[in-house]
Amino acid sequence: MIPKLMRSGVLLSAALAIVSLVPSVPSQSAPGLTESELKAVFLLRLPQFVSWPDEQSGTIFCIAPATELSSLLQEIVASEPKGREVRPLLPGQINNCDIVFGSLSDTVEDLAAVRGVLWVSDQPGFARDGGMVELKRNGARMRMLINLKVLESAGLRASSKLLQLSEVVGDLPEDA
Amino acid sequence: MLSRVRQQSIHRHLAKVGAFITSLVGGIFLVVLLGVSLVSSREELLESTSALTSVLASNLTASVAFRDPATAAELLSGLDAVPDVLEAMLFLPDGTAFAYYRPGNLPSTNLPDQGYLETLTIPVQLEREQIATLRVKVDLWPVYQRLIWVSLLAALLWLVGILAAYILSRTLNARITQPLSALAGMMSEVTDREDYSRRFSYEQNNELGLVVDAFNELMERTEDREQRLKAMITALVKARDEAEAAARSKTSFLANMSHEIRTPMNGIMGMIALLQRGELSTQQRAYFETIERSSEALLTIIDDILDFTKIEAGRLVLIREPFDLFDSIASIEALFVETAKQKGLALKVDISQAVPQRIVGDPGRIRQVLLNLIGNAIKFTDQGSVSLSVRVLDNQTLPALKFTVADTGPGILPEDEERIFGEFFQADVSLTRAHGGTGLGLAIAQQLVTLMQGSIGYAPNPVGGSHFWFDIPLMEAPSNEVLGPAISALTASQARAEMARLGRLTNTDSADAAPEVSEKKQIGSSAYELNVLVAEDSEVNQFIIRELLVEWGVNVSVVADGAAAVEAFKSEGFDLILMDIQMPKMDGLEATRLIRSLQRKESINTDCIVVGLSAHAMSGDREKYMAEGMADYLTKPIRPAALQAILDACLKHQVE
Repeated sequence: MIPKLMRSGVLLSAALAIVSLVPSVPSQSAPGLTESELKAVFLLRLPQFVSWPDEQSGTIFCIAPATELSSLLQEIVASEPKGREVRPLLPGQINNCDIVFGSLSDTVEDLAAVRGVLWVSDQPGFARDGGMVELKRNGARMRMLINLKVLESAGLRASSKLLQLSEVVGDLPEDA
Repeated sequence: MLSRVRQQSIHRHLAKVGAFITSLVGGIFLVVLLGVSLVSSREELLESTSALTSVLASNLTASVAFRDPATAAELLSGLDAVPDVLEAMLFLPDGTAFAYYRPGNLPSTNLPDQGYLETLTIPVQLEREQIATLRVKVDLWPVYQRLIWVSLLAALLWLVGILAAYILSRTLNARITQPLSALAGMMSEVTDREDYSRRFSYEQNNELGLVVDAFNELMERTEDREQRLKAMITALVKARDEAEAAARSKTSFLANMSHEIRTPMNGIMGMIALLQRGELSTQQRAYFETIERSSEALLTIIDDILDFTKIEAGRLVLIREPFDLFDSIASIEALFVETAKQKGLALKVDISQAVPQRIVGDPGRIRQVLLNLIGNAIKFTDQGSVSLSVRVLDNQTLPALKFTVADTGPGILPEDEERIFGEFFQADVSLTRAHGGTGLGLAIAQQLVTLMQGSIGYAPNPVGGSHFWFDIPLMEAPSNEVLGPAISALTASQARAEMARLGRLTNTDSADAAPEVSEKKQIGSSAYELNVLVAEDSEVNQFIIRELLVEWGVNVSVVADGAAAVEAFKSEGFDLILMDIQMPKMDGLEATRLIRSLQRKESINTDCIVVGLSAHAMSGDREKYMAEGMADYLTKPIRPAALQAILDACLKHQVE
């Protein structure tokens, strides 16, 4: 009784609309979170939208110690059963890390030589200057700038959902 | 008309049945289809919406995870392409609203909580962790609306279908009912015209064909039967006509024979009467009396046969007149007294006090029945008594007179009781030999009583002997009516005949009895000073009457036909005319009519009376003669006593 063709058309157009990339628009900030808390949330969530070249059981966060963010992360990770870990960012031990939060100045090794490590920073211009994911403060909101070429050259892949929320900077990957 | 009505009703009935079945099946089909359609389209909508929102929920994970409500709202706005979604809300696990969507054309007020709003709740999961809940409100109203339209359309189609089924059914049924109505029409035609040669033609081999075959078979048989019936009826009518003709010729033969026998008997009797007047030895007188009795007996038999044939032919007409019942019974008693005494029998008459003296009826016929019953009783009873009792039966709807004649004779055998009133029946052949008789007496009595609307019967006398009874409707005569003198005259004139009949009835010695010497009959010697005209064509009768009248000193003139009689009446003053009924040229009735007319209109000889002479001894003729103006009539053969009684009556008439 109900025309099926019409309904399939509706379905198709709806699906297309949802999966299409939409430009980000300014909106109100997430309520009640400090900047550090927001950064912690971003760091903790990132592994869920990024795939590593080798399967790993837990995620090791490496971060400069004695910061508000590191203690916050430490606190959160300690309270959960997951195999996540927060370590101090030490030179020469980057290979053990899955996610590194630091500035370009902290880069002790050539980024290109280090595979399988997601490099995140809140340093402005980080992504454009050869970092992978830059957390950029925009009013009350936090935005991500992703240098996809650098990210992928490290053997990582960012989920489309992540890219949807982020701004891609720098050159596009050659295979893209 | 009736068949048309019936046809239409079958026609319509079948069409209605067709339409009803169509509507029922179609209705059920429609209801099921609509129900299924409602459920399935609702499920389909919810499922598709659910699938879309699941995809949406998956896409929302990042924006929820990274606290990006703007992107979430952006994603939600993709639902614009789904018009059935009226609202979408994204909740964080703590219950705070994260993102919100409404189609652009809807106001932002709260949606009414309607029955056709369905809420879908889809979890937003990130690696098995529910990070938010997406709640979508789906509008089912378009689905329902479509269904309503579809239902209306379906209902319309359903009604059209019923109508179409009805019309189609009627059209198709007409092919069945049309031959049926034709058959019904033929049936009523056959019934009306009784034309059984019709056949119905219907060439199809179905149930109706069987009916038609049966009908044609029935018609064939009916036609056959009808033809046989017609042939049978024709044969029966022919047989009946033949039988009736035979019966008529028998009756006619009997009547003719009786008449033919009477005519010579008249001569014999008249001559005997004349001879008896002459000087005879005692021996000769005894012989003559035997001849006379034999002749009387013969005449009685002939009279019986004449009566019987006349009744059988239905030509006997009863008269209704007032008369004195007591007188009648007294005269009957007087007739039998002598005979009973001779046989040593007691004759008793018992009339109930309730019986009226004067009644209305046919006195002659009542008398005939009574004479017959009493005559039989006396004839067959050798000792004891014969009794007549008359009672009034008023326990019935109409009062009736019941006459009972009881005797102490041999009675009737039980096996004969049924047959005694049949013609020619006689109780015992040996008795018949002894007593004679035609065997017609009781048959005549029964027919007379039946004619009088009464009944007659027999019952064994409890003290032995027979017990005959008859009853007739009782009609009391008004007391002021006077009996005419003609009847007295008649009674007198018939007395002699009845005496003769009695002799036949009661005398066991009958006609073949040994001669017996009786005292010489004394006829009154005083001369009648009367002028009498005799109109009679038979010379024998002329001779006899003339001889008798001359001997009595009567002045006699004789003519041979009616016309001469009228002429003679005009020219001479006669006191009495003896008028034969059957004469050449002008018969006695015609002549009498002319004479009476002359008497009335021209006052010619008004004192003259006319008395008929008839060879027909049949009752019923008498009324005819009276109607023509005759004062009385004499039955031939003329008996001296009867003639003398007429002369006496005439003299008396003149004195008055």
